[in-house]
Amino acid sequence: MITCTFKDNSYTTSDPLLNSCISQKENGFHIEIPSQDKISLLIDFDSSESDLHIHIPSHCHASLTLKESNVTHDHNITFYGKAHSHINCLWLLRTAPESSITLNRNIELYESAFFEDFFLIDPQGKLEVKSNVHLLEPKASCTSLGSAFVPSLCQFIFEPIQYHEAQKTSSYLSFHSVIEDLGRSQFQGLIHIDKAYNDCSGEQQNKNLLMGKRARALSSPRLDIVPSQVMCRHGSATSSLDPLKVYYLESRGFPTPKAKDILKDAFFWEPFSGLPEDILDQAHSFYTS
Amino acid sequence: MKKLCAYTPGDGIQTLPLMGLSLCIVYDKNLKPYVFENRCSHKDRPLDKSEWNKDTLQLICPFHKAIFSLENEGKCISGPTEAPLVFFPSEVIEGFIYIQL
Repeated sequence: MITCTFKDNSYTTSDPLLNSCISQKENGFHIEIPSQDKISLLIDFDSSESDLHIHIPSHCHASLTLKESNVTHDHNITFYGKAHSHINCLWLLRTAPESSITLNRNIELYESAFFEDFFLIDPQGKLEVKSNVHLLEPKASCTSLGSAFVPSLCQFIFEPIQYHEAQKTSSYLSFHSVIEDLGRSQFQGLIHIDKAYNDCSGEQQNKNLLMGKRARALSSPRLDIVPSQVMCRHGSATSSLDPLKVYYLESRGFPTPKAKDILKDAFFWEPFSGLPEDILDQAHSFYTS
Repeated sequence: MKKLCAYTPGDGIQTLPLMGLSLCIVYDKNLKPYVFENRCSHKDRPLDKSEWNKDTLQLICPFHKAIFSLENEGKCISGPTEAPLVFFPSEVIEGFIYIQL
């Protein structure tokens, strides 16, 4: 795996060939992934005063890990998936303690591009993430699976919008949020399909687990669909831990706090079950660090 | 106990952030502070424009007229909800307000 580290508005890479693919422009850093069949890239983005643009060429199969571990400033991240590209992306995000941050993430996908997205978010203050998926050409497809852990006194606002801007496009989002006592989570999702773009499919799911009586989740997945020949679903569910499941684990010898931890972890990690083991290890070590 | 802010009694509703939360502080006629989350338990609307009665210790949400008793830790005594406010017991120590989380 090639690593690329951004720090203090400059960057270093483990592969000198990649140096020529990175440029700094007025609107931030641009990474032009080289044209090759397969590439695996770890981007450690600690220069959060700049925006980041990642360009994936046609027919490229890219595995990306984007790690942001102490975000202190608002910024934008944009992915451009050219025709027939296949992108697997793991996004690990943790904001600085007591910060108030707004992040915009855009994913622009062209003909038959496929974006498989896993994200793990750990807000340490107030965090607002706006995630816009633009399916610009036919057969573009995006699958997003992620979890957030919202600690006590922290607030996480997530606004994912899936724009279908061509025929035969598909999008799917499943987002889990674990909210500690006095944590606040807000999900404002939207699937938008313009007229004349038939044969699209879109789905948005949000599940929230409340870990205390004063935890709060607001969930509003919405649809904005003009054409008739589409398939769309949305839904949300919010609940505290099932006492029967806690009781079952207690009956198997687990103390109550451990039983609750097991159930909480199972819920949190459920969206990541399709990840390869080495990538899952990265996510796990980030989460526990 | 968590140190919140300096003790500066006033007539109106004071607001301040605490990490990702927004809190309100009001004072009764003896200048005792009451701290609660700036969010109505009915429709999650902000409470900083509420009507505060320092004699009865009641707060009236401007949106749907829910009445909360801060004497009873934010219990709703009238209106469209039964859920109490998120209320933080507080103390004044050496010129600062401390709250219990």
